Amino acid sequence: MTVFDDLFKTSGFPMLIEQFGESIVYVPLRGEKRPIKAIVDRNPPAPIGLDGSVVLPEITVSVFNSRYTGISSLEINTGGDRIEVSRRQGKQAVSLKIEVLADDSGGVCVIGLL
Amino acid sequence: MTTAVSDLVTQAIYDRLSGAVEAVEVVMPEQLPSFSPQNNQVVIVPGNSEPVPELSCPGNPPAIAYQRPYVIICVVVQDEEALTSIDSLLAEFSAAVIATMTEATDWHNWGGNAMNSTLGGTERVISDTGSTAEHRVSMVVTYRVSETNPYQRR
Repeated sequence: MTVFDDLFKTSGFPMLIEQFGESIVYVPLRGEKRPIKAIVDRNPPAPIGLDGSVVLPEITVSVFNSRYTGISSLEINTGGDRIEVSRRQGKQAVSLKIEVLADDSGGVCVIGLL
Repeated sequence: MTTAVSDLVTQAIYDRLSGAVEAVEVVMPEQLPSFSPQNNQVVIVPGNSEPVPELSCPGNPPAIAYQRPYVIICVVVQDEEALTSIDSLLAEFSAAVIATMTEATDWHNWGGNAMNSTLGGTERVISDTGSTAEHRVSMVVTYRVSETNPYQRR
């Protein structure tokens, strides 16, 4: 970890979570599901791709890289872990597949959902 | 509400696959997406209907035959810790789906709503992230309706 990573983990991201965080639920393939705080980035939906295929909206969530206060990058299993989050703020949460761990630096996991 | 023949075929495909014990979920795309990939999921994607002049019949009104392609997407999500070949899992699941679709001797007419159905090739697709794999089974369904009444099969 760099000095910046350390500082961001201990002071920057906690402040961002405090300001922009919302509750989601992590549902691992194995083990108990648990509620955590995350910054949810909802991208515009793109139902049909250019090749005619169905494209689902992608949501990214940023959480602490920790199995106690967020999700540890070591425990993520893209072969079945899911996250319950609402596609629009205020709507009922749906279960989305963890498609990719996009970044795990700075004490933060950025996770792409489909 | 009366249902168009083309939609009756789609519904028959959905109903038959929903009975497959291997499939955890069978879904059809909606205008706004409402499902998420999961292991052993089937996604039914109907294509555009094209007229088939050689199977159409003259008359008043004439009977127009159409061919409509379908893509049956068999989704497999493999546990990161599993050691089984992804191709084996895909082959196993898509074979089970095809077997379910074609189990009945009159499978090709989808409850009497179509004239014929033919299965095409299977395309293997792995998502960019590598965590979702698919076998896309293609199928073409031929059906015939009255030119002025798409609810009436001919």
